[in-house]
Amino acid sequence: MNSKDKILENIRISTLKRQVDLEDILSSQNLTVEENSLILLDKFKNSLAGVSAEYRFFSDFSEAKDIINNFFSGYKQCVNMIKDIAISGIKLDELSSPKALHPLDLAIIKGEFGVAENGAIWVDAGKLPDRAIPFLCENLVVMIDSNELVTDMHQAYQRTDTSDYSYGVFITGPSKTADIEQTLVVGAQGPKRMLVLCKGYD
Amino acid sequence: MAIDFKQKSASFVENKDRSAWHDTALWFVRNKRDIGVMGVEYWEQLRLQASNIKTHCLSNLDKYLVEFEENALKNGAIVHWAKDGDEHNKIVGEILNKHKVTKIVKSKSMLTEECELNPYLEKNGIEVIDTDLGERIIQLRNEPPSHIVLPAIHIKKEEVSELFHEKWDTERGNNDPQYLTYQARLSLRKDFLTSDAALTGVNFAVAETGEIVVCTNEGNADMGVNITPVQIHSMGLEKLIPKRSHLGVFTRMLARSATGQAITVYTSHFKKPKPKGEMHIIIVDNGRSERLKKEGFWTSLKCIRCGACMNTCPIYRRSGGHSYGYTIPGPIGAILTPNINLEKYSDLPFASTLCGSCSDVCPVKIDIHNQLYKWRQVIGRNNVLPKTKTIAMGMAGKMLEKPGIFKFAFKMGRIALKILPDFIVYNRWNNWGKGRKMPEIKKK
Repeated sequence: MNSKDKILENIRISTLKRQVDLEDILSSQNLTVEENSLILLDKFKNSLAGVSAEYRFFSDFSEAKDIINNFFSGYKQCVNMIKDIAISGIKLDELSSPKALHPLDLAIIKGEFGVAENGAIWVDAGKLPDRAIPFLCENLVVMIDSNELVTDMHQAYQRTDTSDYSYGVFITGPSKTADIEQTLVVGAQGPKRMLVLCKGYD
Repeated sequence: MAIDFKQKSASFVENKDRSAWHDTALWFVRNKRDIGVMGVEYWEQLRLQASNIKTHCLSNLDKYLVEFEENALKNGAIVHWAKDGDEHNKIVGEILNKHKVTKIVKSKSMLTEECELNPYLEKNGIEVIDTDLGERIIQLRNEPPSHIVLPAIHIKKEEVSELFHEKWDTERGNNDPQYLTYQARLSLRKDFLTSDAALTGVNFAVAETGEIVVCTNEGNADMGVNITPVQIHSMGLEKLIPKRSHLGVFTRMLARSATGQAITVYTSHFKKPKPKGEMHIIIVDNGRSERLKKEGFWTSLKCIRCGACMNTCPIYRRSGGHSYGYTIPGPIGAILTPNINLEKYSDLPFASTLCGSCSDVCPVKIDIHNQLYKWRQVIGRNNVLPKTKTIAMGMAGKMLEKPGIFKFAFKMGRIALKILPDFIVYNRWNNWGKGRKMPEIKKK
């Protein structure tokens, strides 16, 4: 008998004795506390500030470009995944391996929606020409539509249920660690800064 | 050899400043957890749902494991099953050999600590780099982790500075955590760029979709997986949850319970391999299916490894994680280890005041303190109690059987406490007196 069968057989000794109805669990109380869109946006901004992410609102793409250039002046290597923002980036189809992306000063990518309770932004990273982009870059810009907010993680997973992603990530601020004496340091292995560009009005 | 908790914790406890510093650091994390939890309406209902989902899943684990494998295969992943740690290590070794990998980057995985993967790979000529900062620090010090979420919580920044100076020639005496973290970043960046495979642990595996979820703050798991062609995810079989919607419950609880954060910086859903890449998932038993059989104890498999029970435990905070002699220390470690080896770990369920704080903070409602108490009984019945405990308890048992003798002994005790000098209580033959203080007797 192979390991799989051995393991499953041993598990069945226990599971045949215990049965719990899944319907009971799925029909359990909805724990989302619904909010109107103004409060959602307020909560989202508070959450972003709490995770050391910076944010700016913009109304048109030339404004977005200026905001980025002001924030990260002097960057050299850049990947820009948003065509409407007129910032030229490196050509990704010429890369032999993700390692060739290093050093990457700036990456500009799209976020699908934000989560008000914690500041997380869903990024469909499997759609990027290279999955390493949001992690390898020193500075990360994620653009989202400020109308695209959900209340909490329950709603967030309902929302992603319909998309067939191959690799998706909730990104919540720049990378962090507190592994040395519980002192928070922003910029561990991933981006040191993260700017959330919100399309819409504050 | 049986673990002697008192002996192992002695040097840690003797250094009073360090013990107090450790206690304060963990209590700080516990407080952050409280603040994080208080910000959530319906926290108790969340706990109940999380616990119920796990109860259901563990009670139908065979079906969900099969469903998970089917869906993971459909996604293009390669699924392996390992009955124990040796088989797990062999599978990892074979994958790496097939691709002629000589260097691998790992993100945090308590499972691979449990399986002792690193020494196995190193013996086979493969360089292993732990990329979580805390894990990297203890790897360079050649030490096991002392906490499952904060592996280097027992180490001071001065020691980290000294270590980095010795290994990487960083500035001597610069103890600034920001500077030290940046130096580690530079060193690890080189490691990411020169590795050919990445291994991660797994926080959740979803049966419905065959995807696995990994939660980190540093971004090291995503960096490793996405920068190298071969990705390996090692998971204990209890990491399974039935549906994607259940992630909503668990991702709200994990980081809040662990560090007080509302969510980890990265919550990554690995479903399909990257173009031209290979994705392996190793499902590991290593005693878990045996644990599932144990009435009264199987619910310990619900654990999502948040570490809240450690941060709150008065014994853990004052003794340090290394006193437990196992990868997973603290209250949860003390109820997991007797499953592995009753005799070796018979001391651990006694390293508790049974105050119940661990059960109160557990996000999946494991009755940890009850299980600690039940393990004590199992240990007693199996005659593997430490000798110092059996003699004293035998005498106490006889006394408690006879009310007359008990009353007499109680009276004598009150008198003795008043008149006997301290050395009768605090001497080298009385284990109980070590680290304890007798109460003052009040006049009636």
